[in-house]
Amino acid sequence: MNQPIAMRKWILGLLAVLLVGVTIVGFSQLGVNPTAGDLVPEEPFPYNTVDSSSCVACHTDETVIAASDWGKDKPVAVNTGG
Amino acid sequence: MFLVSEEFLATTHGKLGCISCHGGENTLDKAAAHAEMDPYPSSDFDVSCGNCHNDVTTTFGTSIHYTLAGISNGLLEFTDFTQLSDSEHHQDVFENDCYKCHATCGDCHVSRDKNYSNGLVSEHDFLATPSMEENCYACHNARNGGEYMGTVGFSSDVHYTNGLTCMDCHPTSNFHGTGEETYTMWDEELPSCLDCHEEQNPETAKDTMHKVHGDSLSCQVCHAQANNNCFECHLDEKADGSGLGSSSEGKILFRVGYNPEVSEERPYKYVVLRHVPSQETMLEVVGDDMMPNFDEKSNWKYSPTHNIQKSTFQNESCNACHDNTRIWLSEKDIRDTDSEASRELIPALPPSLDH
Repeated sequence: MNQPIAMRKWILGLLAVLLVGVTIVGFSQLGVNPTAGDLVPEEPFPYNTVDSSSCVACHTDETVIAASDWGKDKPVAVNTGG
Repeated sequence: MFLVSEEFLATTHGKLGCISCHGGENTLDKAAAHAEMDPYPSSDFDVSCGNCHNDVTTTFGTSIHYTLAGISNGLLEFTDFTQLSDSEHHQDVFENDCYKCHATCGDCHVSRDKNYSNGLVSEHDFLATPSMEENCYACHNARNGGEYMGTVGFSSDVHYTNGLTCMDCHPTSNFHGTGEETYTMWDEELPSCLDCHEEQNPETAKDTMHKVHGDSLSCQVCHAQANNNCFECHLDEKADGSGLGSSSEGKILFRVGYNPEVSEERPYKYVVLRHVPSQETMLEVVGDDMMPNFDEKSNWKYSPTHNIQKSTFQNESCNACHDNTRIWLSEKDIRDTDSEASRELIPALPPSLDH
């Protein structure tokens, strides 16, 4: 008769450990873990940058690109002799 | 062609801002914005790329892709000078014509070489590994690159059809340099077939062909196809005055002869040869007697032909090679415009099976 009671205690202990584990994992997934996800401050960009907003205004504009005929007559490769 | 993708702006290079590398001014006035702009910032790679990639830029100045030492030294060997700068004419030819072929960081990682097809490869994306089709081929299309990809000569290389690119065999040092200048490409750490095909090492090979021939024939003698040869090269002023342009007669041929570049790495007696574009009068547009040592250098060179196949017409049988007088360099192949030294590569062959 003692054996089933000991078995029940062991199973309850195991369930308790599992419950605690699942709870910790669940909290960390929700961002409660202070070392996770968005709460980590971003590293500052380590290189000097120069404001080039004017360049970007034209060079990302498909219509400007389409209006340019530069290079359109160039094949991928010509006979270079090389 | 000028397109810079929105996605590029979020990358490390994109975040730097165009002006960080290209110069110019951040203004909507087009003329003022472009006045001091450098479309090819990696021409001065120590300043532009070297800010972050100095592990590469410190050696790149010694890279044969940058120095073109093989070409300058090849030209020098036709002269009786000790350095090209001893002759204003020769220095001009090299700098204004030959050296246009050198590569900078951007020519491989961002765009195609500006002297050939030009243009961005992919909306200004920086390719950590360059594109074989867009970058390597843009310059190396007439011979090894074209032969490898099957656009010159016959079938493409079996390694190409199995998906290998230039960078799969050639180590990075072939492109970025090592910090020590080399005289020609033969002094570089070049790939060897045995790097992968170790079982064909003639010292340990189990099959008769590799045991018997492996140390006297380069791999290409049995496994390469015909290659592209150029004859009677001639330089003229380009019509638009932009420098010298060359023209030559091309021929797809397969010729085997004595090895003109015997070395510890390539000790073979017989190798596949390729006729390179050269003749004594090719530089007469620049000056007289530009190649006084012409007859001392062969116009036929060791060719690491890049169109390998396991089965070729010459390895079909013993007689396909030994009795095939057409594949061995002979007196008939030497033109009046060739150097006397070319004759030294004519083998005392064909090697009859009788002996």
